[in-house]
Amino acid sequence: MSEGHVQVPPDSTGKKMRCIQRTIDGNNVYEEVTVPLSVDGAVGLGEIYAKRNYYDRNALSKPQRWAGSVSAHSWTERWRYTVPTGKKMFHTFFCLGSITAIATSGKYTAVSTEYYSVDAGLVTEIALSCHYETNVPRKYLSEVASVFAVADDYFRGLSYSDDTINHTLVITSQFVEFDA
Amino acid sequence: MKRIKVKIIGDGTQGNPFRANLPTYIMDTVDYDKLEAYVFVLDDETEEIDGKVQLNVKRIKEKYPRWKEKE
Repeated sequence: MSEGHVQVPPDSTGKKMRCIQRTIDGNNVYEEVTVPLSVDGAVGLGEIYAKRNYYDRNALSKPQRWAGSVSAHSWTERWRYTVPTGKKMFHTFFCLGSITAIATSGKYTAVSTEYYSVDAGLVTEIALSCHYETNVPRKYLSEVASVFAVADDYFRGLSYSDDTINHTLVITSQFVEFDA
Repeated sequence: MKRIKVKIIGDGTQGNPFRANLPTYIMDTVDYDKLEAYVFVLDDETEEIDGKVQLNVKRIKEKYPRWKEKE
């Protein structure tokens, strides 16, 4: 398809149209400027595509931390964090600490964090870590676990112990919540 | 955050642990005999009525549309 041009009447006094001038085949021609808009006509698509980084979208730190000295107990959820509607979340790291005393032989204590991805009602479980102890006092585990999660996804931290002595447990996770 | 008392659900197994039926919270203390717990919840997910702090169920449903009040 070849390019060409049509000629309009001489400049008038009416409203001005935005255009770009360039030379085609030795002629100065004017191209009409069009601006693509979003569905509601309010925002140029260029602004939408130039989305800011997550940390510039009302990012808020949402740490979840539970610590306690506990006796034997069944599996118990110590905290849960769910991504609210209209938000997304960047999970940065988690830390599990346990056992401030040598565990009784044959007994164990556990701390765990789990990530649940929820997509249209389908829930996928991803265990981030599980830390069991038998006979080593004072042990900590800290790991970077980078996850971007969307609304409805959730994380939780749990603990368990069947030991006959108390243990101090810590379950911490760090979330950064921002506008979707 | 606000501290409130809630019922806990679950049977204490790894697949169905004791927990509060809330989308976001941090557990404080648990009474396994009474199946109750004190938990910390976000300020905007509570409301004060007649001087008593309680869950703001309407606000929780707005923030987490998939959450079910009765699990």
